[in-house]
Amino acid sequence: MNQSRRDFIKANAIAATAVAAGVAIPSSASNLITDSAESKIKWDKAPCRFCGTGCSVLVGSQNGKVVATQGDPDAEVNKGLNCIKGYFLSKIMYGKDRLTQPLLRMKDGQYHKEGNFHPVSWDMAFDVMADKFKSALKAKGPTSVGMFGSGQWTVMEGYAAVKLMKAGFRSNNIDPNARHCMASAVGGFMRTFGIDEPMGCYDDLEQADTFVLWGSNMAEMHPILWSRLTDRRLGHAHVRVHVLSTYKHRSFALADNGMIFTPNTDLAIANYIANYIIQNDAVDWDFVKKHTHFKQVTTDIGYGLRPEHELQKAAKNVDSGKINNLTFEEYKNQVAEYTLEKTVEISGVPANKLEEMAKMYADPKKKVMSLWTMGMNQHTRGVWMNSLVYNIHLLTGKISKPGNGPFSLTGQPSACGTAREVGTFSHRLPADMVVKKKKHRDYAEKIWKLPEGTIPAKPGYHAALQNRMLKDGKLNAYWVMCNNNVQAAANLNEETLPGYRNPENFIVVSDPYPTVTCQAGDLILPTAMWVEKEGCYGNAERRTQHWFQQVRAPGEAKSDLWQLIEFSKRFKIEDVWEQELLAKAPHLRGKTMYDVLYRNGNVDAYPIEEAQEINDDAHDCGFYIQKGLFEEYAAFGRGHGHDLAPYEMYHTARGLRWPVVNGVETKWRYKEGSDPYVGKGKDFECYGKPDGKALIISAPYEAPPEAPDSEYDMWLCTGRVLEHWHSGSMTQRVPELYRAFPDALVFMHPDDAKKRNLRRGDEVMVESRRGEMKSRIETRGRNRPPVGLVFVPWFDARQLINKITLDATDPLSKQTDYKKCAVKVRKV
Amino acid sequence: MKKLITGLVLLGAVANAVAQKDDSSIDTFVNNGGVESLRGKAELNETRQSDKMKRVLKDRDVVERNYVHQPPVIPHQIRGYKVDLKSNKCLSCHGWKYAKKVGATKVSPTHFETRDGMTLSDISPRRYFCQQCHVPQVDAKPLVKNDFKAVKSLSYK
Amino acid sequence: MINLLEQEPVHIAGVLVKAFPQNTQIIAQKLNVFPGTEVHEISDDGSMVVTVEATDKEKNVVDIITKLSVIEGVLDASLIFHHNDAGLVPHAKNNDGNVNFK
Repeated sequence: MNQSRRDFIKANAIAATAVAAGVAIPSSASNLITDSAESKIKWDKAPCRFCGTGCSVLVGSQNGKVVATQGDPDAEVNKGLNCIKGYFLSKIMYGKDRLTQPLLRMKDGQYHKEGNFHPVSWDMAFDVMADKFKSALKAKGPTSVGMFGSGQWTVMEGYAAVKLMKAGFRSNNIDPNARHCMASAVGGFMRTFGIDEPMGCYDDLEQADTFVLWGSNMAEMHPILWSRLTDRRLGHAHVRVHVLSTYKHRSFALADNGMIFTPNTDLAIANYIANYIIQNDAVDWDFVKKHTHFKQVTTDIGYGLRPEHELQKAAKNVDSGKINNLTFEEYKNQVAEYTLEKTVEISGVPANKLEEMAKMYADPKKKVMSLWTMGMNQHTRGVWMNSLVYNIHLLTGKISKPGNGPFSLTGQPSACGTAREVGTFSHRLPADMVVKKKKHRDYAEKIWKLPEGTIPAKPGYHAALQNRMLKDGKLNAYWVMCNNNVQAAANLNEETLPGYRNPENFIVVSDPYPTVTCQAGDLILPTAMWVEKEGCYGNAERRTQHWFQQVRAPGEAKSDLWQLIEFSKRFKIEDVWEQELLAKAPHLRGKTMYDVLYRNGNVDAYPIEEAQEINDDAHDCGFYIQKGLFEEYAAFGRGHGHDLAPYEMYHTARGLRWPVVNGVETKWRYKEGSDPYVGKGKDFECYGKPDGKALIISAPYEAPPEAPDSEYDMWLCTGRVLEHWHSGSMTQRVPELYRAFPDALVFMHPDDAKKRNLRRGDEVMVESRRGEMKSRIETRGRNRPPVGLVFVPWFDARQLINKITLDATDPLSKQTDYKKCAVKVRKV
Repeated sequence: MKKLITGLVLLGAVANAVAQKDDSSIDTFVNNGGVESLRGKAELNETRQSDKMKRVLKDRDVVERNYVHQPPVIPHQIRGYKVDLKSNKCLSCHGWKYAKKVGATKVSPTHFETRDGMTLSDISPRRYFCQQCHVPQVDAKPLVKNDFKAVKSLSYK
Repeated sequence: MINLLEQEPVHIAGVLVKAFPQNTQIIAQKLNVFPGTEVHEISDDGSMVVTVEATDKEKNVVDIITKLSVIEGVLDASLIFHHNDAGLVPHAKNNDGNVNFK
């Protein structure tokens, strides 16, 4: 029955009046709301499956299927709103080609690298997989096995994976796809503040006077936060919006001051603003003296390419993250180089526009929120750039105050929660700890009840390096989970594909759908997704959100967590640990990796009775595994600035922002009165650093590794579109979203098109030194590049723009720069 | 083929250097194993011909929805529609004052609510950018069928 | 299922009508004659649960309620619930025919 709004209001009228009359609510009124048992929908909350905003949605299910979704009116993040993707969440699980059985490449009934895929049982899948991992371990040791995970894993899945790889297989070769998206932000936070993730929160959006977007198209990529920002701008006449980008996009529609800069010159612009602040005596000296130190980076550090690359050979200080002391006077002199005239010349932004922005940062009365995402993170100087923006906020003391602060937006739903907080990076451990430090390894081993020396000290292969090592035959047994890295990684032709198809390697791909990564793999594992399992995500404002399983996965599809757990049962601890280590813990002999890692008295501490009736992972284990993993993980952060609430609190709350101390969340960190970790009377304390002081880190402008020349004459910038999430494996299967943006296009300036004799809709070949791709020209779309630059979204598996991109990374964060390389575009 | 495999295994690092230069060698290993992705069966090293640019459907009737809070899609073209700081082209038809006159769907009353749940006399600024939720549709068959089933009361068939 | 996206504005009142218990059936008949008026429940003590909806002819719900209250035998008619989403201030058009947003 389709109840109209009128009927609904009428039912309310009847109900209210009946209450006043003291009579029972007439059946006519209640009937209107639920016609019969058949029309009853079970509603429960879940965070959205897509971006890092972390909107809460209400998921309606009936007869074991999701039948509807809507924005959660009780959620602080989105207050009932969703973006177009969020509104269509109900359809993402029902693409006709959902994988429901493991598929293995076979010839003559046996695994064969060149065989075709055939359905096999989970048993056989795990048998073959375990065999391949065991032979790799035997032949080359732990560094020959690895895993590529995700900022879309649940917190528990990421945590279980870290344990499996770092403590079980004793390999640090685990990295998340968040390496492609947030690593530079992590680097910036760690260097400047000594502790990861934003100090402020989304509440700043309702209180700032000025917003500056440093390389973020929030209108498309964080639509609900954009709607909050729009609300603020349109509702308050004094509010101003500044947007910086290398091309014009939808966020410019709200810009009071829109600026197009030459790629990579944001480094110069940030330094100009610092210079302006100093020259105009706008430094908050009280703050700077009490709470900061001045430092400078080591320059000429290369571009994270293969060591034999000429640019690497030419660099003096390859990969150096060393920072040196600086006096204020020296700092002042360094930024003094970035005069208005020089910055205009480098960046191409008109003087009045730069000045307008600088003035507003310098004005002590203006509360400023700086926001950024991939424009600053996918940058071969991304860590530097993150710090340069922090410098501006630290010089003016505009930080950790309502409406005032730098805010690094996150790409994925749990890039913060899973990738960063859990520490699924090749160099990390939970709660900001790192494998390099003995103290941190000791701490992890103690919580995990494992012998000293279990976790290897050397960081493992990061994302780009994993593909290189696959190609070089050094990484041989590889598990790709919850991501589509063949489509996502840069330089597909020269690195990814040769790596995956290298006959020496065995590649396992876990995914709900047949992606291009599945096509390049050797074993495909069908995977449960989103509300087909219980989990937690952590969003960009440190908010941890929980959801229960609401429906069952189709066929034999199983969650990532189940897969990790089941796989761990295939190994005796003797298979993976050397005798020397085992001798330190003789009681573990004869046990499986599963027993050692997940039946350790922590993870299996909570009885199945505490779990929901529908919780397949828990019932398969026989204990409440999600709670066990969460609570063991939480032990890392409690009392160390990363406190999480007890698991149950998240069952009803629409998320809580850590540190959650005594049941109270923290909105602004480092600020007395808001953050319980700040010492009494300190006002501001950056407790991630030993002396509580943040660093103002000077860094110069340096050129990008590849720029247009006479042959490859245009910049290529890649990115997302509103309607599609990442590689499109979910959203391209929702008919309404597919029809909204069916194919990737080459967004080009009309003058550039004319010069090449191209008209809108013409087929073109886009070429770089690494590969080529055919697409079509768009000159009038939502993105308006300047002359000399094209923008191509990467969601389209039919085009694969990453055949063209360059796998240069920030040498410090190891994050790939997907925003700049040189291409040529010609008519086909 | 077999020879090449043996070569790679035996020569290790040296073979890799060779493989790097000779791109054609990798081509022989690329094989989707019969699995179709969104790019169909086209091999990953193939440069697919690009699909035709699709046309946005022109004035159609309102497209039915599958659940209550599904935002209606835009059943017409919107090229050149300006929605910015100064003006909003969508509201010049879908605003309450004009909707009846031009035969457009009125903006839902839900859009008058603020973040705090107050009802305004005008569209709430947080709903200002219509295309965050409402999108036009091209004339194309979906790449993959979707098996989503609406509840009975909302199944339009 | 609630369709919150219906296009027409809704104007509905919930009215508690009181009468002597012996008169309620007759009064209910009279009430049902009024356009947009519906009696949903009658209690033993003479309370009647009534909704009044604005129609094209009768724009003003309050007028209807006033009329209800003077029906013979009605002791009291009180407005308990009122919902009206019509009358929202319309937008003004600017020079290029687009809608201004203030």
